[in-house]
Amino acid sequence: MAALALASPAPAQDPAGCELHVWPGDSLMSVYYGWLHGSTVNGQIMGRPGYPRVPPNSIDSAAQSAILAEMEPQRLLAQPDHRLVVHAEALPSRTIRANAGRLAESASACYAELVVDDVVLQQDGISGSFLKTLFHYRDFGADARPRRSFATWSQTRLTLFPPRQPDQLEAALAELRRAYRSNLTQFAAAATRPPRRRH
Amino acid sequence: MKISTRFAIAVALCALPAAAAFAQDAPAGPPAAAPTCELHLWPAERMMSRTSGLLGGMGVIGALADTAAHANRDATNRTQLASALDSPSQLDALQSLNLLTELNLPAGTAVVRHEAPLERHTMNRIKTRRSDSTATCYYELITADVLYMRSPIYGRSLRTLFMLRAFGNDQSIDFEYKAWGGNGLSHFPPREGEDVTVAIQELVDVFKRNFQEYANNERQAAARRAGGRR
Repeated sequence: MAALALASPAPAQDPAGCELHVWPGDSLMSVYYGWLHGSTVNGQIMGRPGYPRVPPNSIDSAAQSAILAEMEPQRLLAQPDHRLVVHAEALPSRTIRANAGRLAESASACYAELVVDDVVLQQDGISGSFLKTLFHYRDFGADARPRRSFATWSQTRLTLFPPRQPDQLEAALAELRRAYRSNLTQFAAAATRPPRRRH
Repeated sequence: MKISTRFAIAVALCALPAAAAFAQDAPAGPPAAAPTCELHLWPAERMMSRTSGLLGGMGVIGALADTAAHANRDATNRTQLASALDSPSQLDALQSLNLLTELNLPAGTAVVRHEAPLERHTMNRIKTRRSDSTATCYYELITADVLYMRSPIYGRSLRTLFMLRAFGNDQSIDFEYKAWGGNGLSHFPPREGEDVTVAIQELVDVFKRNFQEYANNERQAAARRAGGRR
């Protein structure tokens, strides 16, 4: 937790103020399954033979943080009064999944967090390419344990990324960023949807 | 490589006290303490998903149609497996168990984590040590494959292929045991838009159960081969 505190932008501690802490994901992962090669996790990122190349650092933590700040997720998550705190560093999955308490050292009386766990390029010969993002949202209120938590994947189809030719790089990266934004919007809609009730 | 291996040992012994505790507190029964023993762990790099329906039993064309019909679902499953069982999660899951007891290894064996998987196609081909350790008593536990299966008859399951290789004080394998462990799933894969927390935890739990099933068979195979002595 000390490392987390150092990594955070050290927000002003205002117990009365509401806060939404947001963490970006780590670098892009890839899962490819083609006609002759496939199933090796990050085979594209590592440049394994037979795997389509992916541009390095296509959407790193810094790029994700910038998008998250610009998207104002507190509004998407129906918490417009929460002050947005965007962290620069990604958290390890084990920290996200194993910690039941607050991930930031905040004493906010109405504290929530949105964490990007994994960002994955999924590509296969039949169903095509998608950007998939695993988000976790936890609303603590004034408590040390979450009152409500929700984690799920959202996905957006890609048609340009990964680029086939060098001159397609800019358009492909722009598409990837649009897909990231779309995934966040989809997740926020799912997280704020009222629970289904059986009639 | 030597430096990184020593660093990994330091991490295994210092940053992961639970793992170190396993090495120190292994119960009586296994062979006598041998402080120079090492058990090296590697996670799997390959995640597979095979969903089959009724068409799968109707010859080659049926199998192809079946594969195409489930391609999207299988692609999604592979992505979710890669996330839930990424390399650190696999190693953490294994180290949460008492590996020395499970594999009947000498008390005091140091557990060494390798965060990066081995290339799958080299796993069977290379018959020498996969690290540059010179320990006089040296074991390798390699997770080879992680496979989700769904069939109309047997339902959903997670299968994991493990391989243990025991070396003496040289580069030749004295004992090797490679086998699948498999157990059923009831939460994975989650439905689209559903909370995935329980499904992720289930994959980790079943991965551990698969290892325990494998280890049980490995102990029996080792005992049969060596008459109870490794």
